[in-house]
Amino acid sequence: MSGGGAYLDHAATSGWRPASVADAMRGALEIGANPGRSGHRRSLAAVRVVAEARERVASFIGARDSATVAFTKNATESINVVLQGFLREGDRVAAGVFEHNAVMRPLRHMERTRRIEILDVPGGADAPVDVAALEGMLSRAAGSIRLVSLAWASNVTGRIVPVREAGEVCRRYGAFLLVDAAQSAGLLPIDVERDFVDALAVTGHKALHGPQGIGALWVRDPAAIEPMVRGGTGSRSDSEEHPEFAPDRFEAGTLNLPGIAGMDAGVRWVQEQGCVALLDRQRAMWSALRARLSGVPGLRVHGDGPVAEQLPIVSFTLDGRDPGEIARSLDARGICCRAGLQCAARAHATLGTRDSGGTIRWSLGPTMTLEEIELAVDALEAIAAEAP
Amino acid sequence: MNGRTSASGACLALFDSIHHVLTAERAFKERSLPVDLGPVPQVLRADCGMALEFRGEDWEAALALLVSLAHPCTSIHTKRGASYERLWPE
Repeated sequence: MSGGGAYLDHAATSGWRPASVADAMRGALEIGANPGRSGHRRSLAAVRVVAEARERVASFIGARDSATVAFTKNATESINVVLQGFLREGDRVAAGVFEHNAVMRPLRHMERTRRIEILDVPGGADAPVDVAALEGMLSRAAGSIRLVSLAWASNVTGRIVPVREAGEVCRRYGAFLLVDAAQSAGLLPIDVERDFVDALAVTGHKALHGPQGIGALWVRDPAAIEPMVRGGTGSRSDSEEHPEFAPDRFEAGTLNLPGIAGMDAGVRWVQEQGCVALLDRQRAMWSALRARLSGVPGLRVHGDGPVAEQLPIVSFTLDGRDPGEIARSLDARGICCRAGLQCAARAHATLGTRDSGGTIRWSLGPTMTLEEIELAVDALEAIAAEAP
Repeated sequence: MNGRTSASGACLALFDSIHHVLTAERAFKERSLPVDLGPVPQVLRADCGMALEFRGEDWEAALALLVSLAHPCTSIHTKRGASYERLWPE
């Protein structure tokens, strides 16, 4: 990072993007036409950008049919489409104990408006999902739990959930599995078929290194999800009924063409680098960081696991110190990070940090260096040594 | 499908979605079948979409491909004077 600081907030949004992202966005803007709305060559050029991106996202997540991929504005919108379009009055839902507000807020709303019942997927701070207990829960429910929602990795702790094992259990008991891959897409290889996923939400601006304001939704069976927004799609314009076929079903209104082009460039960059290589490097940095943090007096790390079960995120507190004040002091020293509840009150309730101001979260990215880690920990040690 | 082995002139395949059109176009190109895209004629559908155009001489291979896609075409037409004749489904 220029200016002698360090950006440790990649879980909020990537602090770095390949140059190809801005180039692709500029190229899309320069086309100057609406994708799929007209028959002229510029509109066709625009829709080819969308089609190429859709194919790339589909292949990236292991989807067999690219028509089942829809572009949204972010993972939150993708999650809302699924929850609001799938759940019916009185349904029972099981949510992971580390779910983001992107999941919990629509669920709490539907708890009031559709009288859904929200259950906890068995798990805790040390093991985010207890798959055996989940199986017992689904077995006892005898098909009455219609949907299970899991964040592939916690945005607070970076701890990875065993999605494939949980998905296999959900499939066996007929529960629809929604996976929030906002943090993991770009670091963990995704194969929606292998992993028994029924719906997947991703965002473009985190580990896919695309722009903000663009995301994607994949659903195994588009017909099972009622659209959240209806309107013009450029197809069947003679009808006042919204089309039932995908992807148009979920893409009313003009698409975010520059965002889609930028996300496509980000995914392409990740494919070129390889998720495994990207994660391996960042895990090496995370291990170095974790080792340095263990020497900071009064520092307590929350909810982390073995490196093989981690995204490059660490959440910690300093005894007796306000996380927000620590983050402010770090910022004054050029260290950018996020403190508080990170839009995940449920995760902090699981960790026991909800009512004490949350945590300080440090999240790493692809350009992170050991020098930046040293700089950040040195700054933290200096702050820790100061009187509160 | 039907007994036709060829069609005279260019054929237009219509789809529900532009996404399906582009998927079909890619399939044609993968099989080295000449293909072009153009606006759907208004007499065929009061729409603002795109149609896939292929050669009548490729009818058999094209039809086999078009109906085998995950999102097959909805109809195929050819121009007859000022109007269009529907070739498929018959």
